[in-house]
Amino acid sequence: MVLAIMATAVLMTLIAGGLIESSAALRSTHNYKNATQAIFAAESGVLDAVKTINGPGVVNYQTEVVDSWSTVYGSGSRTFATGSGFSYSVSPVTTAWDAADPSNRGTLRAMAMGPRQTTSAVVARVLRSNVPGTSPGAIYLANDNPTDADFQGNSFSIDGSDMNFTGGPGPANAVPGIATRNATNTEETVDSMGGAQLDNVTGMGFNPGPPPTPSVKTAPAGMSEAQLSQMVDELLQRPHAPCTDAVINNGSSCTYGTVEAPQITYLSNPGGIVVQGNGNIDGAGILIVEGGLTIQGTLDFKGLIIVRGPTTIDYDSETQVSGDATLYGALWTSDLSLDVGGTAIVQYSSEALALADQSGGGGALPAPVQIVSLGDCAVIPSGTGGCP
Amino acid sequence: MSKCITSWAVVSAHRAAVIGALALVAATVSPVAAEQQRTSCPAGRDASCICWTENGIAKVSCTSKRPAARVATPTSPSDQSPGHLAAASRISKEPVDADPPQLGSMTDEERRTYLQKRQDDLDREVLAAQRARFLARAAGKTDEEVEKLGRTFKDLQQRRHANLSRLHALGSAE
Repeated sequence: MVLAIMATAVLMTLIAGGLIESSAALRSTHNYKNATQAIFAAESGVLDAVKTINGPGVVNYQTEVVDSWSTVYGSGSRTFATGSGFSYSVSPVTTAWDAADPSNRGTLRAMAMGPRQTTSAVVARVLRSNVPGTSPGAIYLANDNPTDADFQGNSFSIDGSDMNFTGGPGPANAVPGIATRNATNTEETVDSMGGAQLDNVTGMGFNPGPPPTPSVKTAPAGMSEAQLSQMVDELLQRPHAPCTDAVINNGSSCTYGTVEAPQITYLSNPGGIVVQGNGNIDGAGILIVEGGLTIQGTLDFKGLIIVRGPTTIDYDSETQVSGDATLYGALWTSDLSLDVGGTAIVQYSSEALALADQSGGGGALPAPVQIVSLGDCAVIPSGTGGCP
Repeated sequence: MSKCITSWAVVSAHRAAVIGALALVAATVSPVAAEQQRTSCPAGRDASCICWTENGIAKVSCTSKRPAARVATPTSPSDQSPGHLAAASRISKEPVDADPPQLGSMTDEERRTYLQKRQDDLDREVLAAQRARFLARAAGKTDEEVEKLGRTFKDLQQRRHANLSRLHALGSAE
């Protein structure tokens, strides 16, 4: 009897031990699975952040990403996928590596949280690419508020296909003829065009029809007005040619760069600039215009034109001369008005945008960042390399 | 032998069917007697044109060919040959301020249609000339060549404005 009880007790102990052991093993397996999934979630967080940064691209990583993180990405946690139980947050951290060149280098730390208090952290080193990103469109209406595009007449051509200003097609993929910040502005732009004008806006997504579908697309990843403003501020930190004239006519002495020496030109009159009938802008590089740009004379430009205000091409009733604008590259403006009197050609050109990128000492255009290394903080000593 | 006769019969039947079908098509397509009537050509047509109606449908035939309305967009500086701007030159030779000779005998509606068509042509030609001038400059063509293209462009622009004014006068400008 005693023997039987002892045997039963031993057996029970063995069973209990086995159950505890298997339960621990099961928990361990769960933890391992959660930890692995947490690493994946953290890595996904890094990719998400890099994708967000690369939407508009970067001129200066420190000011446009690190200092503006709360608006660029935000410090809150994001749900990984509905029902997965994982979330992640990403933040820029400073390490010795990126402190050596804060304009071009950075470190991102992603923390992932999962079930059973599972946490994981990864750090990624990112480096600004030397290859500038593309423009959202041949014309980019960088306006978060409703735009009021106006197309009069049929004497304009807006083309998002890549063409070289030296002749022939360029190597880059086509972009939209006109890109906007949101669907409302895309619709407004298309609705502003009449039947005969629809085939004047070509590029990515253009369909000759009939009826033609103009190449007008929404580019939500393009620069917001605030980001564009910041980019302009960055560019103006570089060497540039200022021009304070409010009116550009044949008496104007401003210079606008050449193909051999492209430059950043800053037309700074806050009330906007009028290129009068006898005025002429002929240049290359980046042209930054404050207030608005009205072209009643001639504008021939290769590169990027940024207008912090509306762009208008119309007719000078005094001189009886109509504005003619030819731009190879891209135009970023807050609004657009093409009058029946003027003629306009805006042709996307990666070759011309390369001139813009060379301006002001080089690397002037927003470029994407690339991940150059990715580390799991589980195997990196705590407090080093950006790990917590 | 019987196989041979059968094949001959099949081939003959096939031929007969084809000939019958062709005859039926010919009878359907060709009018028994097309009703033709000579009419005067709408103003604006070239003098060499003959106009008539055939079974009520207006037809026109011209002996001298008019230059193509749409000017191809140059894709390289080498495309900017004088031939490229042939249509532009044609319009450039017309006097700027004078009404196109065809306008005199037109009704307002015909005049409006004519001027609108002309405006579309001029819009295209101005843009082609503008692009040609830009590319010539960018390609480092001689000042003389660029100036020539510039003159063509300015001339076309003036014509475009003159035409636009006529359209405005008719109250139908875009």
